[in-house]
Amino acid sequence: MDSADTTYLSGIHEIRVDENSPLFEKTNMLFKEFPSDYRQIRYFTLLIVQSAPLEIKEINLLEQQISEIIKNAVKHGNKCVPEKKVRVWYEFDASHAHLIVQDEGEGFKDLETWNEFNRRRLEKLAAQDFEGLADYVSFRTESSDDNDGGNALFAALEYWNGGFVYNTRRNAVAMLKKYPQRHLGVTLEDRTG
Amino acid sequence: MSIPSIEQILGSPLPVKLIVLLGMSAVFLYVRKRDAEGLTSGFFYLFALQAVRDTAYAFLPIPQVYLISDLFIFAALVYLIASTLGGRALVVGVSALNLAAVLLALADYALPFLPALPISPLGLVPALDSAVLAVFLAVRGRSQDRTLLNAGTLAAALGAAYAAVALFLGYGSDFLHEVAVPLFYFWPLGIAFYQLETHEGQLVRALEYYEGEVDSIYRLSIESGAAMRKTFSISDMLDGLTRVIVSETEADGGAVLLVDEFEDVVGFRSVQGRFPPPFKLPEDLPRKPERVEAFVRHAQFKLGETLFGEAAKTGKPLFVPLADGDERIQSNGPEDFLRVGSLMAVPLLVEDTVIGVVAVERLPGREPFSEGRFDHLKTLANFGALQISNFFSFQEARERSERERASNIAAEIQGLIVPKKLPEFPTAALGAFTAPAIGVSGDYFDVIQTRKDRVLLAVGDVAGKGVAAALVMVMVRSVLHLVANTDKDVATMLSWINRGITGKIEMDHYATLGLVDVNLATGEIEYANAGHQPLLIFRAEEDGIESVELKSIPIGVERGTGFVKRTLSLKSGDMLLMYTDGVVESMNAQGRQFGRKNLGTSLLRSRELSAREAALRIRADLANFAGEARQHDDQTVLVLKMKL
Repeated sequence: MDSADTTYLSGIHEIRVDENSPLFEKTNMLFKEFPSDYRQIRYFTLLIVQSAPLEIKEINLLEQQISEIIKNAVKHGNKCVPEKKVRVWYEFDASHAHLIVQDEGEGFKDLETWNEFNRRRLEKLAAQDFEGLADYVSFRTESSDDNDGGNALFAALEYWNGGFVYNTRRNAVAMLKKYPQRHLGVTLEDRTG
Repeated sequence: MSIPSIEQILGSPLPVKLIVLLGMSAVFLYVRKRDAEGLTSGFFYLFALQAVRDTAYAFLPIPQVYLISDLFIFAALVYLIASTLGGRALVVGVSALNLAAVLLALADYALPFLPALPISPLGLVPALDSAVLAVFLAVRGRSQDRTLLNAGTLAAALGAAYAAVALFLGYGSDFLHEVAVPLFYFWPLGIAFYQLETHEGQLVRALEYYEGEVDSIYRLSIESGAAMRKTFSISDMLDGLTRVIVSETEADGGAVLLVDEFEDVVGFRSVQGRFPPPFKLPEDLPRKPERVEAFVRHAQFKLGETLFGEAAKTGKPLFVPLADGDERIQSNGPEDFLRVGSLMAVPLLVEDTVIGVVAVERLPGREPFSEGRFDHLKTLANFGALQISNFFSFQEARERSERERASNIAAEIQGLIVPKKLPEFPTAALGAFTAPAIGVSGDYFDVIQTRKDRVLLAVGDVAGKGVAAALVMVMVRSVLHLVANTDKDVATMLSWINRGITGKIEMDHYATLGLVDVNLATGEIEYANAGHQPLLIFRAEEDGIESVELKSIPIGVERGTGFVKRTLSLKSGDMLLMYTDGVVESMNAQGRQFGRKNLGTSLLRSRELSAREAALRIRADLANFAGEARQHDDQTVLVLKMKL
């Protein structure tokens, strides 16, 4: 393979727990809250994404990622109990997307198990052990059902390149996507040098 | 000493000298006319000095007059030539020496003390001046202005010849006065002439050069302009640019590399003609022309790596007249198609930003690039860089205007379908405002009079933005207007709209919609809701705000959704308020939302106002609350006030 994607080999690829992360700073973020209605997840996502500026090119990808996070909150966090709310703080501009999604559930208990699972998955990938990789395609717990792909968080961790952090109770997750900025040329540091 | 008679003067060399002087003056006037820049005036003063000397000598035929004036003339000659070439010390030395000689000559004339030698020691001084000047010119060598140097050398040689004649034959010699002096008259003029000619030649060459440059730049503009007009593709534009640069530098091939938009690498964007890579190819790349060409076409380098990365990093141009044996050029093999002959690479600079590198090559065996070509390439690169950066600016402007156009279309549709003028009724008054946020355009409101005593109020919010959202809004409105004129109740209307919209087309189309059917005769209202904000009612009797919430899901989620209605009654003075989430979620600079409570207060404070004034009051309160903060969503308010 000529153009092997090696991004999974770089950087720290695990879900962190850090309530003091600056990603949890909510000042000046827009806010919406939704009932935990599984049917309306796409609608809620659209309401959030509509405030993203048109400069963001891959808006569908962003929408898909946000939808997955809201789905997790509605389904795994609030167990689809309509009285339980999903709260979303969000903020977009041409260079970044920043979200905090909080549910009223018990928190992501299997976080460590997930990290360990993901670590093994990445090892298999790095070793190009594609047979072994077959066991690490989908992360499943007792509460998983047929609608759970078990792989949304793998993609999320790749996508949210500015961080993907849970609070201590693990019922809120803050994430940041940084968009590369176009620039024309490089500025000479020292013209005489 | 006696003053010479007319006969003596006529018999002296003076008439010859005067005739020559006359002729010279004619030439002098001619040269003067051509010399607009005053280049030659120094030599004219010398000419005049000589004329004065000879006229004086004719009346006072004393050798010392000649000697002393020659000492001045030679000092002036040295000054004229050496001062413009940076020989200040020489000028000072010669002037001092000549001045000393003048004083000695004067002293010797008054009280002769110098021995009468065959060669006068003071006559040596002009000869010495010429010799020193000649040495100076030889040392200054080639680094200086060629024309000035040539004129100077000529002057020094003629001066030396004259000084030699004066030295060996003495100032009383007839030969000196009849031959050497008249001949010597020629030299300042000759030199002035020479200098003028060369200068004009230079001007003509410079003019031709600039004409050539302007021509190249013109061709460059035409090529890149064509790419902008026709395809607006950067690769077409760069191809055109490279082609022009290759042909203007008479190269065999050339390439333009650009710094990446996101990363600090510089990569090939256009390769034209034959361009053997001057950088190291991977060892395992087959040395076949098509493979190498394909590799080069997509090659990119980190800043500072290879001669291209280096040029992009430092902003310094690179000139390799002969690649053979030059360590800056990497050899990739003995094959002909891999061998570089001559190379020039110039960074594309826009002020102090390097946007890329342009390079041209000639193959081995052809005459290498000259310094002149290198200068020419620099000019072309400067202009090319400007064209490229202009292109990107245009592209950005175009993208922006396309985005704006799309949202403007949406805003226009929205503007077209909301009512321009609100109807008036004897028993109820209406007020409304809608303020679209830039690029959103999802709010919708409507007032439909279905019967004489019935009016239907609608406020909705389509999720998403732009043209897609506007289309959904149009669909919602069409179905609403269709069913509004049937005898269906508001709940049924919502389910019809929901059925009409849901799952019909392959796109997300969600909308909230609140409907209120008002009986203008009785004040009775029927309210149904599809995921929209709760209704606020000002109750005049209680002087309080009542919030009416009917929970349900929005339009577009499920085809079979059933909606419920609720019947309420309005009394005289009561006010009904419908609004969108952009109103209650409006945020101020401190990050706080306006909220339903503030909205209720605003309505409460409008109790004495008309419906129209109440809507304006809410708008003002909202603006006051938000301050300088940006409006991020559409805001719509619809107020109805009963006056039974």
